[in-house]
Amino acid sequence: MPSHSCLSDAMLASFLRHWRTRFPQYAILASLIVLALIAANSLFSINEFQHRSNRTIHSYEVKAKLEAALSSLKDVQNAARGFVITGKPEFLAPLEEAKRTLPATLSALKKMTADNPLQQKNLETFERQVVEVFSVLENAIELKKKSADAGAAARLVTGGAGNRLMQAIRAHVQAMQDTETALLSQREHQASLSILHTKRFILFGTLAAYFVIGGAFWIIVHQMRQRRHAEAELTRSNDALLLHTRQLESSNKELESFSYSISHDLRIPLRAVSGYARMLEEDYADKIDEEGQRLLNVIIDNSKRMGVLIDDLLAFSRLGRANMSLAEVDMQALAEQVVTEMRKREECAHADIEVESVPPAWGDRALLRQVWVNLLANACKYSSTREQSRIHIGATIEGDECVYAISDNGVGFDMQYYGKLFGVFQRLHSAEEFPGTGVGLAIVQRVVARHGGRVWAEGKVDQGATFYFSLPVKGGNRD
Amino acid sequence: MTEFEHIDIVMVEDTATDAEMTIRALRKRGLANQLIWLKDGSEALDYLFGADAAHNTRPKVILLDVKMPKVDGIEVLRRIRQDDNLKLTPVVMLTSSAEERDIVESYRLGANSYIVKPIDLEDFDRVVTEIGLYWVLVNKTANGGSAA
Repeated sequence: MPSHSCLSDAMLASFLRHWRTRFPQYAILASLIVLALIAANSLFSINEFQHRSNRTIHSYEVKAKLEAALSSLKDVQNAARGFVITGKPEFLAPLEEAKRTLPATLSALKKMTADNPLQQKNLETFERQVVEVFSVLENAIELKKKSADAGAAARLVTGGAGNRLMQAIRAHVQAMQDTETALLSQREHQASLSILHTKRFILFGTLAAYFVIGGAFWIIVHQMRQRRHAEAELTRSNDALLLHTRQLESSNKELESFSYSISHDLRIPLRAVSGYARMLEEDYADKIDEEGQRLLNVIIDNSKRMGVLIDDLLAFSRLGRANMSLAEVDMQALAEQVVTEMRKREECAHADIEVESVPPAWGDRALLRQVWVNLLANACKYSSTREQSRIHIGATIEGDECVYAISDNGVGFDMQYYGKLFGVFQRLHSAEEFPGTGVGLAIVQRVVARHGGRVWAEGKVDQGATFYFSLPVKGGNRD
Repeated sequence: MTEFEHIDIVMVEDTATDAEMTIRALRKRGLANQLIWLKDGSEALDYLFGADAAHNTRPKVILLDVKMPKVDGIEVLRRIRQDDNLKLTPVVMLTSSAEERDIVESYRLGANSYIVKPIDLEDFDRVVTEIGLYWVLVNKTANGGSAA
C-alpha cells in the first residue's frame, strides 16, 4: 500500500531529522555522564585499593603473630627440656612467661581473624593443642620435681607423645600460615585485577567521551556552516523577492496608466462613429430609405455597445487592482441600500425583492457593494420576462465562512455550461435576449476571490437560478 | 481676431470630430455664433494671454478639454486662474477623461464644473445643450473689474 510506506518514510525521515539536530546535545550529555561514571569508578577503586591494602597488612600481622606463638611454644618446650635435664629452676622462667602471654596472643589472633570462620576453628584447635602441650610439659616438670629420675620426665618431654604433639602443632600452625598466605595472594590478585579494570575503564571511557564530543563538535561546526549558508540563501531570496515586488509594483503602475489611456483614447473615435452616423441620419433623413436607416442604426447601436464594453473592461481591471480597505461591513444594510437604488432602474422597478437578515462581513465596502449590484442586476434582468419576478436574498454561516445567496425565478441557465458562467465576456444568453457584456459575474468572482471567498451557482433552464458567494468570517484568510 | 467681437464661449478642443459635434449641438440653440474654437492648449494661451489678449472681452464660459498635445487643459486652467482678468470666468472641463486624478486636479485648480463627454450622440447633444444653456443664459458672470 503506497500510503502506508509514505507514512513510515515520513516517520523515518522525521526521526532521523530529530536525531541529526539533537545529536550534539545528546552526545555532550552522554559524555558528561561517562566522565562522571569514570570519576565515581576511580574514587571507588581507590577506596577499594586502600581497603585491600589495610587487609594485606592485617594478614601479615596475623602471620607474624602465629610465628610468635609458635616460637613461644618452642621456647616453652626447650625450657621444659632444660629443666628436666638439669633440674635448674631458671629454666622455668620462660614457661611461666609463656603461660602468661600465650592466651593474650591467642585471643588477639582470634580477634584478628574474626571474619574467617576457618581460621577461627583452626585457632580453637590450636588453643586445645597448646593446653595439651602445657599439661604434658607440666606433668614432666612435676615428675622431675617429685623424683630425681630425669629419665622418665625426659622421656615425656622428648619422647613420643611430646614430640608428636609439637609436630602436630607445628603442622597446624603451618596450615594456618598457608591459609593466611593463600588469602593474601588471593587479595593481591583481586587488587591487581581491579586496578587493571579501573585503568581500562578510565582509558576507554575517556576515549569514548572524546570521540563522542569530537563528533558532536564536528556536527556543531557543520550545522553552523549550514546555518550560515541558509542565512546567505535567505538574504539572497529576500533580495530577489524585493526586486520581484518592485517589478510587480512598476508593472502595476504601467497597467494603470495603460487603462487610463484606453479609457480616454478609445472613446474619442467611438463617439465620432456614433455621432456622425446620427448626424447623417438627421441631416439626410429624406435622402435615406428604410434600409439605409436600419444600417445607420446598426452602426449607432454597435458603437454604444463598444462603449459599454470599454467601461466594463475598465471596471473589471480596476476592481482587480484596487487597494482594498478592510473593515467590518454591515451586509444587511448594504444589501438593502443596493436594493433601494436598483428599484429606481426599470428592470428592478416591479420586482418582488426580499432581503433576509444577513450577518456582517469583513472586507472592502465599495467592492462588496459592486458584488451586490452586479448580482442583483442580473437577478432582475434575467427574471424580467416573468410576470412577477421574485428575488430572495439570504445567508447562512457554514463553519468559518458565511455563505450569501441571491435567488431569482428567472430563465435560469443550463448547468452544462457552468464553466463559462464566471468567465470574462462569456455569456449564456444572446445579446438580443438579454443585454449585457458578460463581465458582471467575472467582476463578482474577482472581488470575492480577493476577499478569500468562493463563488458558485445553481440553475435550471426556465426554473430560476441561485448565486452563492462565501466570505470568511472575520479573522479568516484575507487578500 | 476681430476687435469688439463679443465672445460668449471659448472652446479649447483638439479633436475635430468632438468639436464639430459640440458646435452643431450649440448651433441648434443659437449659441454657436459667439463661439470661438481653439485647437489646442498653446492656441488657447495665445488667444487668452497673447499680444492681442487685451481686445478679448471676457467670455461667459470657457470649455476646456483635458487631454491635449503640447499644453494640456490642466495647465491652461492653471494659467486662467492665475490671471487677474480671467480669474473669475467660469471654466467647464469638457473631456473624455473620467479619471479621478483629472477631476481632483481640475477642482483643486478652481474649475467650476467637470463634464465627461458621453459616447452616445443623443446624450452628447443633451449634455452640450444643457451646458450651453446653463452657462451662457442662466448663469451670471461677474462684470467689471478684476477681483480686488
